[in-house]
Amino acid sequence: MAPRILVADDEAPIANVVAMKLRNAGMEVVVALDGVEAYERARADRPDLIVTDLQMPGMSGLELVARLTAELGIRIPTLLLTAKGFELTGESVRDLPVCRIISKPFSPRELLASVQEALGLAVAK
Amino acid sequence: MTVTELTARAPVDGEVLARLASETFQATGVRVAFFRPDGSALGAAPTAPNDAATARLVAEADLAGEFQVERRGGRFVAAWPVRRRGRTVLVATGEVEAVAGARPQALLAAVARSICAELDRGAARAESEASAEALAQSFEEISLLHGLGKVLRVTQPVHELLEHICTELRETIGTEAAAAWLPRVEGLGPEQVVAGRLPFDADLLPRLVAHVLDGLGPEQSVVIINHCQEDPFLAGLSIALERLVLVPLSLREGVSGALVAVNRSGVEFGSPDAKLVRSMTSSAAVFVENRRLYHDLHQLMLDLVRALVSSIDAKDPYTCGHSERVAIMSRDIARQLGLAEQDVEWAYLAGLVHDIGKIGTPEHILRKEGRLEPEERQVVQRHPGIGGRILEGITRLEPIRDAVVHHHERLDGSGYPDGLKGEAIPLLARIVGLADAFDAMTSNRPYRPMLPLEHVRREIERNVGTQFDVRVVDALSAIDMGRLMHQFAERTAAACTAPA
Repeated sequence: MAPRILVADDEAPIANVVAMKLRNAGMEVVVALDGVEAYERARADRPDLIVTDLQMPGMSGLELVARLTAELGIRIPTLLLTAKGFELTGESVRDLPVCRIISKPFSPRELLASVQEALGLAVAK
Repeated sequence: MTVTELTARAPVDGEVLARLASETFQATGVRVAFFRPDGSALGAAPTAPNDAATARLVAEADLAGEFQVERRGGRFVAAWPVRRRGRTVLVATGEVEAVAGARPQALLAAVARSICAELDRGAARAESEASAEALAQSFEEISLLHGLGKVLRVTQPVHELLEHICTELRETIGTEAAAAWLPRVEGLGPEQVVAGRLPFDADLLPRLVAHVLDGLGPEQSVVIINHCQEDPFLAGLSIALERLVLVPLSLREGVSGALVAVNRSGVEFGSPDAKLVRSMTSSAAVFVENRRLYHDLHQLMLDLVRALVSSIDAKDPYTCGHSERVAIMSRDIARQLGLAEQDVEWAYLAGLVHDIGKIGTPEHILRKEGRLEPEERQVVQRHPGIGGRILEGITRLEPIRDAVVHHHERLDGSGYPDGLKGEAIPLLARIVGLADAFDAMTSNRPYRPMLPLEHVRREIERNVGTQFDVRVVDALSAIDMGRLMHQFAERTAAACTAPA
């Protein structure tokens, strides 16, 4: 069964690049262009993994993960894809299922590899 | 793929058209078919009327550039062109039964609008995908350049850097191979790295580089050859060599190596590829020259130290070459002990300068042929401390100061100047101390000739635990003496005349 990924970023071109890369690798991708939409889609679809930007209208990426974790009670592995990559500390993501923080600009190849790695780990668990 | 190509392609994707036709029929009862402007059918449309009348209608719609409809007996047939950028890409036809009370012309017009809209959406999606592809590629290139900045360190071996560059470059521009070649120059090379597989024997790479550089114009900084087979030399290398991008890597002597990307199916090499390769090459060139400069300065430092040290050694003909020998031996012992490369280097330097303090020893004592009086011995024993004070001023040699100060300590604490015991004696000092003693015993002295090797070994064994550390002694024993003596002969014979 194809892995289902939720991609959240308010910059459509970036979301499209990520979605395209993941779809070409055989994954099912849903794109959300703001935090609230992402939250709703995640709650409804329970994706296998989330790739999200940090700064989005409605709800930030961190808030998104925090609320999903608190409210759903399950931990969806999450990759943060963000321009704030160098400023985030371990503190801000402690206790959250954030498996990697990738700084923009990013290499789509590396992003795909990170997603596959994170999914591999999730499956193993 | 360009946007124009994709947009031109999208409306004529057979699957899409078939799906559209089937959906439209199910929703509205209208039979839709698609034709090229020349009248030939597109996609599978078994129910489409494919007759002269339809062909004529198609041609009319194309010519008029707008929706055409006509009645044929009990049916209404319409045709409408789908245009992109002023050109007709295809003509669609729709056919529906004339039913009393219905409004077939209006229905056909609505279907036409709907189909055009759907095809437009498809084209927009294709364009968006093309943009995403282009953006992804740009991201990869940016990441490649940023990644290089992270990886450059002056202490990194050139080979490693070139491997990184070739591997990443190949993945980013999607070629069969990416390779680097540097000729032999002072302090470097030759270096050859290949990522992926070249379509010819890798040994031939230098010749390919030479050939391409030969044809380089004076202001030319990149070479793109998209049809290698048209060049007899390149064709001769391999019939599988199709295209390449080459950027010369210029070194200070005016000679050049190069970075080459070879073979990519699909898109020809163009300026975006060339600029990327050129950017990587520039970074590599700066790095390589910096590394050579570092190497040059390092060699200069060593040469200066050797010159200084041998001037001190030369005051006493019996010790000529002593410091160099102790340096070589200390280095070999350190290596034998498995120390890190940097520490092995320090051991060499420590051995080289260990007796530098003798510059403070009066010559008449240094050259004295007989046994030393107690006061004279005391003066000599000041040399480790003096050496340490001399080195205080040289920041670069700080890590070996302790080795110089303590190279006459003994494991049992009966050494000088501080009577350090056991592990308190720095490892480098223990190493140099052993090498020093070894060289002293195997050299001629005014009061005795050099001792035979076996005797020396036994003497050293006897003093393990009291004077010497057993691990350091074991390391010395494991060294190939023949090779060591050969090195001594090479390095010191020229400078010294052997004392009788």
